[in-house]
Amino acid sequence: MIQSRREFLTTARNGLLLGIMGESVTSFAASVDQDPEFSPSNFLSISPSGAVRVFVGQGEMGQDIFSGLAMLVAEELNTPLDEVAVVAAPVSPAFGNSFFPGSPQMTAASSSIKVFYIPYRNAGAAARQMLETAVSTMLDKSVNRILLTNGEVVCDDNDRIPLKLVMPILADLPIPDSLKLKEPSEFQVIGNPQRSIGVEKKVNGTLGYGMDVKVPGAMTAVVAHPPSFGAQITHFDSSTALAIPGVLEVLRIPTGIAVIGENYWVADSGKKALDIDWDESAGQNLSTEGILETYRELASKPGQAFTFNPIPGMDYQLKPSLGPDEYAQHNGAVTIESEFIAPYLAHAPMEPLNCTIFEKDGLIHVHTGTHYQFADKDAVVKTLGVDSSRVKLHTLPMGGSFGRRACPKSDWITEAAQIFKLAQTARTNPIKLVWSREDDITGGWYRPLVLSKVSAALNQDGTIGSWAQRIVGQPAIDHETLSFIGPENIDLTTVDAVGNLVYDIQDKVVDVHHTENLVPVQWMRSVGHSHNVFFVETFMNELADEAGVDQVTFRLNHAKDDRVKRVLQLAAEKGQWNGGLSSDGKAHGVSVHEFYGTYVANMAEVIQVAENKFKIVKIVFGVDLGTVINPDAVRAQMESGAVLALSSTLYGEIDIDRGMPKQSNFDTYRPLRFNQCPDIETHIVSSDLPPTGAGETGVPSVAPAVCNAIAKLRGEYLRALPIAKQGIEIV
Amino acid sequence: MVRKMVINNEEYVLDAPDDMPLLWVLRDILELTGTKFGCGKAQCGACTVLINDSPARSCVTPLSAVAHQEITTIEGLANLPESSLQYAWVEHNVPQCGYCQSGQLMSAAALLRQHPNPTDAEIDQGMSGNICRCGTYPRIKKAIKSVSTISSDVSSDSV
Ligand code: FES
Ligand code: FES
Repeated sequence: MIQSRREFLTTARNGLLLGIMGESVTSFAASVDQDPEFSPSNFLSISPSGAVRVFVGQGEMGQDIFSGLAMLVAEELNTPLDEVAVVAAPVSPAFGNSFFPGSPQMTAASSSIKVFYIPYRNAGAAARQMLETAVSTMLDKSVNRILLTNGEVVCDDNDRIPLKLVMPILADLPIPDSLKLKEPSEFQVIGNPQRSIGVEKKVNGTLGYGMDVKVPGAMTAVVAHPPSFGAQITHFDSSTALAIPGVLEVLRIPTGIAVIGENYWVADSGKKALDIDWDESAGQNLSTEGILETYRELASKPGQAFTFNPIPGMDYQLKPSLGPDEYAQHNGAVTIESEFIAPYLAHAPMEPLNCTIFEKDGLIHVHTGTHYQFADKDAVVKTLGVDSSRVKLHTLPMGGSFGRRACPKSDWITEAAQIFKLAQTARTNPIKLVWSREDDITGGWYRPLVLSKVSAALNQDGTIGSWAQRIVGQPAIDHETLSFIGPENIDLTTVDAVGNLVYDIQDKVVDVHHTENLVPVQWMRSVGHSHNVFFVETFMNELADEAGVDQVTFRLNHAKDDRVKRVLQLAAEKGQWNGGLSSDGKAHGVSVHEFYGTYVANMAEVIQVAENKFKIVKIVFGVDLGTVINPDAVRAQMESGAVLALSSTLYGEIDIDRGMPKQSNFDTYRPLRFNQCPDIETHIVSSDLPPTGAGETGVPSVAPAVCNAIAKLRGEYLRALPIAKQGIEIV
Repeated sequence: MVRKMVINNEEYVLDAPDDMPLLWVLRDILELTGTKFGCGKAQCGACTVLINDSPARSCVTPLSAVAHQEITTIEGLANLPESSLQYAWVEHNVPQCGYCQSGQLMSAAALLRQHPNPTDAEIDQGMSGNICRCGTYPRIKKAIKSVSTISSDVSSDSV
């Protein structure tokens, strides 16, 4: 693979302009020296002693992107991976993600590996080629293969030259005209399981998350947020709170009442002591039941229709105009119709949201775990009304996110900026805003509540003649936030996995009703797929059963391409698909979907232990993500997706009554527990197609596969989540 | 009030009220931030420490309850025999975001103290109070089993 010089130079020049070197940055690895460095790209620098630093703008939230990108550099540079440190890059267009229009610095849609596969390899290859040229000059002979290790350049497995001596020559070398990347057959790092970089810090408690930021003099801020959506403060009294020793300040901010104290416990005690009168009239009529009633009514009317070509990614087309109610028109012998519901979900990452903000030497420093730096920095700039050059956002490792730490409105960071702007304490002390778990779970920015009606006609021969689906819900993304949502303010992620169905059905119509209410929503891991795959794949089983065809065969008969077939066959074969229910009581369910180029199928095995009591025995994935960088990371992400999805399948729901979420902590918003966790197997299709992502792709297929297996035992399809609400218990 | 505490075999002198939860004493006063805040309500286990030999949720443990007790946090795990768990965690590449792992490791250490060779049911019981939103449960199970197998080999060797 050769990249043009021009293309590469753009990147390299930005690197020099950026002046990354020597900035204070968060590192996952041992400290690095600060001597003048060799930096042929924004993504890479090498110190004279041989410390290799890889700069990553993508957010690390447990998906192990730091290791993935470091592997790409190590591969092409020919340096051992354990000699590579990964450093969180500053906010800069140089680290923009071209998966999204405008290339915002953002980590989403499992796009990182897809987008940065070539650029990070290029960075390593450029450095290697320049090192080769430099040592060839020094040795006055052509060196064909170098290895960079322990501060030395090992030439053709023979001569060893200290990097220090090579540096002066490197400084005068031009960036190579063309870059020669390794052929897949030459890979030594890519494709081999690698341990996560920085794992040691995660087992000894030393990895510094946002929650652990230590800045001298920092005071903790907590906020009393509205008890129900839309509630307004009519009166508050801070005297009891201020009487608590250690409480420094109480102030009103746009999102509630902030209490600043010497530590979290004191501030939180102050918050509990506040006397606030809220006008809660705005949310009085807001309830899950009421919302569903409205959605049902909408589902009986035509919405905004889409036409679809089998276009990959998000490139859906809007129909030029609203058509007649095509939903009702069907060609076929038998028509069946079902209604599906997926509730509001809180992301509930383990680390509650937090943000530390302070001014030093004229710069406003913001330390937080985020994966939407582009928007977050902008939010601080706008809130404070300062020039963007004065705001420095430090991206920290995240204690989970699942999408929450990429809030379109940067809600918690904006809140921290408000406190910084308004609080007296902020003039003298850094402010560390810390949310409680209750703030997190009751605070909104949920995965939207979605209702969908699907109807299909079966032909005489048992094939699907037509498919009509209507989806009703709030848009997860608004037009103001991102331009990729399409014209007329339609959020195209709402039709994820339906627009690009993995089945070849010629006669298909999908329409959408977007709704509005007081509950703030945003994307959650796997976005529209998180609900739509459940709807589609449950309905596919209903159709297969109606047609009297095996559920795997029925899917294979309609699969749009070989990759869909291959992952499905892989999961069915490895899971030992039994047709649905075997005489020994093992129930099987399957499902398959595509997530922006990654194909995932899943087979779940469930047994019944008592009336309405089940055990999920195993989840077996078949996955095709093209070229695999780190197979162990892929497996980890499938395990992770399965557990997150099982939590929401079983228990996940934010249920709203009078504008107030009924769930508030892990006792009411229950996650899957250790003892309930099934065995999880991942089988990866070997492929040399370009790589796609892993992070979000394990989630969508789990709910339908598990529910379809349980349906076999209960004799009744499960069309609404979570299933605990329907009296089902998982042991 | 001013008091002395011994944490990870080190002596600390601090001034904090009786009812301040141990979690916030560790994190905000002593700057031992390896112990994590996840729920504040004894629901998630992220704040687990050892008090003597038993696991405790430090978010609901007032300072007054730990006077004269031996406290071990994740920062002190490396000095215990159960530090083998940390190697096993690395070997099995357990952590994802890593935020829950201090608590997971301290619960696992307590489990091994009580049951050096835990059965599956004992592992389930010892670990079900710790939430991992990233879903590392299967790897935690493997890592614990690898450690207990090693110790059982050792004990059978020495017999
Ligand atoms: S923070 Fe103590 S159990 Fe969750
Ligand atoms: S590793 Fe992220 S919560 Fe457990």
